[in-house]
Amino acid sequence: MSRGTGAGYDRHITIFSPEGRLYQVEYAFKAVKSAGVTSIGVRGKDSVCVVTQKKVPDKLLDQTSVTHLFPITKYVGLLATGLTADARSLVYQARNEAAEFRFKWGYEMPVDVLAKWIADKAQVYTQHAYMRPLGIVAMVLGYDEEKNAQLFKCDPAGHFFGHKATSAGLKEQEAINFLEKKMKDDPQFTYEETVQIAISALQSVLQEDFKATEIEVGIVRKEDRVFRALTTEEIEQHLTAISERD
Amino acid sequence: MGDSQYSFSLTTFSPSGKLVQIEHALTAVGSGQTSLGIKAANGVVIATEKKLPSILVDETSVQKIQSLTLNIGVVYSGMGPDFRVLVRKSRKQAQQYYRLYKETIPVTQLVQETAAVMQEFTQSGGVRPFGVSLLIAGYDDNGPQLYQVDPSGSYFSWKASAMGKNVSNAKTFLEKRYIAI
Repeated sequence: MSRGTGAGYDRHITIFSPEGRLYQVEYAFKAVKSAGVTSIGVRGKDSVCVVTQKKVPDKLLDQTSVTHLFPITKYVGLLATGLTADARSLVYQARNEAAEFRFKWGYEMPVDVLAKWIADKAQVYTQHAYMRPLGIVAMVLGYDEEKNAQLFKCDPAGHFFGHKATSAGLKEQEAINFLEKKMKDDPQFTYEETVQIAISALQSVLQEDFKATEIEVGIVRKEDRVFRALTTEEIEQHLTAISERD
Repeated sequence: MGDSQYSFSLTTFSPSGKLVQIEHALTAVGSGQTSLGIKAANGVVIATEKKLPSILVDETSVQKIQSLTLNIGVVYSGMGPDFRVLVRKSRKQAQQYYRLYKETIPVTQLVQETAAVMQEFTQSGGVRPFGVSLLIAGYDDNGPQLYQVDPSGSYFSWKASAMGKNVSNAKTFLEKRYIAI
């Protein structure tokens, strides 16, 4: 039945191609880019900040209902880049998992444990033919009592790493190049610097200056440890600080 | 282990008698980062390349070499996510053995059970083989041991072995320099 061409199904389900690749997983990565949105995450000394574009395609849409930033628990947030429907499905399951963890073990699910759970779920979809991989890259952020500020990125292949800074989406590579230069000497950014680096990275890579309503910003800080999205006023303050600085 | 919606195996024989999915899995392993292991008179060493995709990655969050029990460790070449699944399953199997026999699992037993899992995924419905080869290193009552397990589920005991990129150079080096114990 199959010769060197792998019977032609290697592009439809997650089986190996003759070169040892998983085409469905690679296509899932393309789906992440197809959303046309770029996201950035930066970890400072004792805070983490994630930023993403808020593209509202229709003026009649209720802007406040468009979001890619989801709290999983009070202390852990998730920024999903890619297909929003897949994102909602993952967030629903992650919230369930984190709540069960808290109930079963009596303490909050740590960020890295949640990130690993998400990544392991993604791996199952790359190995079992009955479910396709999800078309999202998830950035998970939180403040861990032992390891301080944490930023993890999980992708459709099931990889997950901790990051000092990272990016996902359409201009992922440009953003990573920008961030590598900024983080080269392992700077320990303060909260304000962290947020401003994240926002200015997005502005630089997309080559446009944003209005406060065009981006979403999520943060976790050592002071209060809760994950929250910044209000439009707070975003405005940071944007002003960036433009005055330049 | 397979999925009921897919009651047929995705890994099937080609006319020449090959299981091509397994061959492709081996190709995936062969393009992974190099790892190797050497058995000595009084121990075993395993090592691997840890090249991260960017300086932005927090290297303390990545652990390619994992322990399965106190005296058995494992390293891989190939797909990291598949490796995590096998580590989890093997650790559970080691614990189940201890619960049943009140003895720590011998290296050969753990290797056999891990290999059996990998073989299942080459035959069950709706799943693909694992895209990793494992080097399992352990020390038990039979002394130091080193096993390599492939995506097909076949395993061999080695005095020294390598996997991943540049495996032929690595093996040539090991063959020349290995002093029999």
